[in-house]
Amino acid sequence: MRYLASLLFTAAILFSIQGYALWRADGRPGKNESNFFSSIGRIQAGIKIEPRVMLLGSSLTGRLPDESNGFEGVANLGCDGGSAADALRAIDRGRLPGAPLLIVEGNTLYKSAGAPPSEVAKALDGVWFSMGRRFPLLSAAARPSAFFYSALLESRVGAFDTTESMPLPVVSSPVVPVSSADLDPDEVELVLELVDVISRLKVRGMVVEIVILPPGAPEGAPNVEVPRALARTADVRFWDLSRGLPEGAVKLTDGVHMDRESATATLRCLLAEFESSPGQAR
Amino acid sequence: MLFNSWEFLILLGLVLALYYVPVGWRARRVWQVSVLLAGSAVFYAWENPRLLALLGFSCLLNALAVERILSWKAVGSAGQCRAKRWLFATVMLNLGLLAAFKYAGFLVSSLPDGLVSDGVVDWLSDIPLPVGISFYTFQGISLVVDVWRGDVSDTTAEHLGRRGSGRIGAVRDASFYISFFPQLVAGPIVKAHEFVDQIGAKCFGDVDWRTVRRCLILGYFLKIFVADNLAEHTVRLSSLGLSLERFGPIVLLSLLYGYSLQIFADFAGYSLIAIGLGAMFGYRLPENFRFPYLSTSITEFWRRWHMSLSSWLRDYLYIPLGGNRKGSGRTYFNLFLVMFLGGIWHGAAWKFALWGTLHGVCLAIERAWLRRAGRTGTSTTQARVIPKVFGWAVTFNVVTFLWLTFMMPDMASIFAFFKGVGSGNMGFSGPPPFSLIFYGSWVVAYHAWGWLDEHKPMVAARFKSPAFEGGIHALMLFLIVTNPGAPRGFIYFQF
Repeated sequence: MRYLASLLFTAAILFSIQGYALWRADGRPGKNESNFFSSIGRIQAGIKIEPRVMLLGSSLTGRLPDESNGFEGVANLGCDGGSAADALRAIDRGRLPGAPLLIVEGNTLYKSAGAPPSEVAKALDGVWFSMGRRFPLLSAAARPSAFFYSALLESRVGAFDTTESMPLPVVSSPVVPVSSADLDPDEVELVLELVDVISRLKVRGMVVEIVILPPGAPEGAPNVEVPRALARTADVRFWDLSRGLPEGAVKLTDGVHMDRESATATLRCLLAEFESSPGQAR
Repeated sequence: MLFNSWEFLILLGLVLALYYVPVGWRARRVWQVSVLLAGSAVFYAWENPRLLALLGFSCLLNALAVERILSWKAVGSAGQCRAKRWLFATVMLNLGLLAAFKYAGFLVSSLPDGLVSDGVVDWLSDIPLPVGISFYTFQGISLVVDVWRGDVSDTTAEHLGRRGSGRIGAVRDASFYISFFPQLVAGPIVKAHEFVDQIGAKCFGDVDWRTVRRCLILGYFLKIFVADNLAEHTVRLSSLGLSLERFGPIVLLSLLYGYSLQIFADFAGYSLIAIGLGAMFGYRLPENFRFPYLSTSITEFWRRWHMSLSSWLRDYLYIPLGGNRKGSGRTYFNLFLVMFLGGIWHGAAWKFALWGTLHGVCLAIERAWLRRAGRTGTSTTQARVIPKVFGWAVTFNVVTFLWLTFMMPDMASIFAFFKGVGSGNMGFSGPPPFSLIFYGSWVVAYHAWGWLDEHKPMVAARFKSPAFEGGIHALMLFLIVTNPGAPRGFIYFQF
């Protein structure tokens, strides 16, 4: 009897503390120590709101701010270790809701060519993902480790005010490409699959834009050619943000991922362009 | 099927409900053993039903051999020789089965080039490894050896040796011992004399629910919260290969110590779940881990780590080889051989043999050192704090660094690891050290509790109150539910 009373009492206290911490963090602490759960947490938090813009991609996209950082109506569905193909497929089969504007990160699309679904993509079909959507305390954002890790990061890096950041000084603009390099058979298959997905999403009223985020990749690399071929075949706009950027305009933390200031400037730039003229090539 | 899957929970619920369905006392034993056999078959066949044929063959082979051994033994001294032949043939067949499915490709590919054609090597290498074959083969051997040695009770021997219409019951019991699902695929390796005498009708009211509760909560906590979360980072050690040299010592050592704690949490977690499930059905399975990272010597480590394998190797290999009774040269040879075979039991690769052999070397050095210390009158076993702490630190670090040979794909990766450790690059990313501290500290706390229980039982007793236990269990359940790792299989499933 004492065992059961103690069990229930302690459990009630622990869930109360967790609920309070989640409330204090506005439903989502900054970061998880786990790439997998960071991605799941971002997606669960992203689809809780009714977003007007969805950012789909890998950990490069994951660094971009979203509604929890003051960008109202923006949901970040970046999958660490995956690519935008995972989220596109999930939206297509109704596993995730869509949004009027889908901004697709092109940098890592090629990784999904001939590859099995990523861990995150598999998790989207799991019971735990649905439970987390329904019960916030069971969501990836509410993991105790996320609270501790976020607090630790915050104490090391400090808070960053997203309102002070300016858009990236880009000189390029989105276009519907007219040509692309040859792709290998797996890449062709991926492009054809995603063209079908995008066409169905268009029918549902969504606008898809494909971007190459900084730091970008050399011309001719699959990082650029696969999304370019996809944009050309699906007749959607393609924008290589990394082209023509002044040196030092983007700062990277580990040679690959943007720091928070650069990521915020990038998002401002994307929203300014795509929200003013969605789907319209200049 | 994994213990940490929804399918398993459904299967467990069904089997448990059917198992304790009120059935007349006379028919209860048959009913319950049949239910568990059917449940074990579904559990084992879930991923690959074809593997059931091999398990079935192993069960039939050993059941038949047991019946033959018992019947020849019953003849008296004249039948002993026949019984021994049956024993020898069955052990060889069991080992042959293991060799064919686990080691054939490895052995043939280790031969000099040109001796066997590439096609044959490829064909043998492609033979799939039936999950749990190392475990149930050892149990099969244990069954025939224990019956031959007379280590099972007369009632059990009478039951297992039945012929005619009673043969079905004998086969059922032998198959149940070999394939009981909690320990079927990753142990603990239950010796026949520890289990077969327990087979009988069970009552729901007799279940030791406290053991069930303790083992299941702690087991799932170690697996789902500790091991699965640590695994997300430690997997880099085996997957990054030569790129490891790009990382600095902080990250690499965090990953290595993380792996050391993870493999304990993974395997001890599995064993505890198995013991808890066994208790749920009224069966006692042997303890498999006793706070192994408290060990102050490698010898002690092997008395605390994977105890069911260590004691199996001791009872069925080391002692029959002569143990330490035939002079020091033979003792060292026996130690090496047992550790080499124990290593290669884990997998068909030289890295496992190397891992086992290095442990054998450590055991031999330790034994020689202790004998020398004994001659000079310096007792190393007396309870002095500094030698104990020194012994603990050396043992824990030796065991941890030897895990490198166990999990790294090749020697080049191990060299890359040490190159990175020696690089002096003190930069690091946050997750690996955070993960080591946040998840690994629970394994440390578990061992601290073990130390208290062994050395300060009066203090430990204060933490054994139902109220304290309820609070700790609530915390564990809370973390299992809110902070699970990404679901993964158990490390020892591959063996």
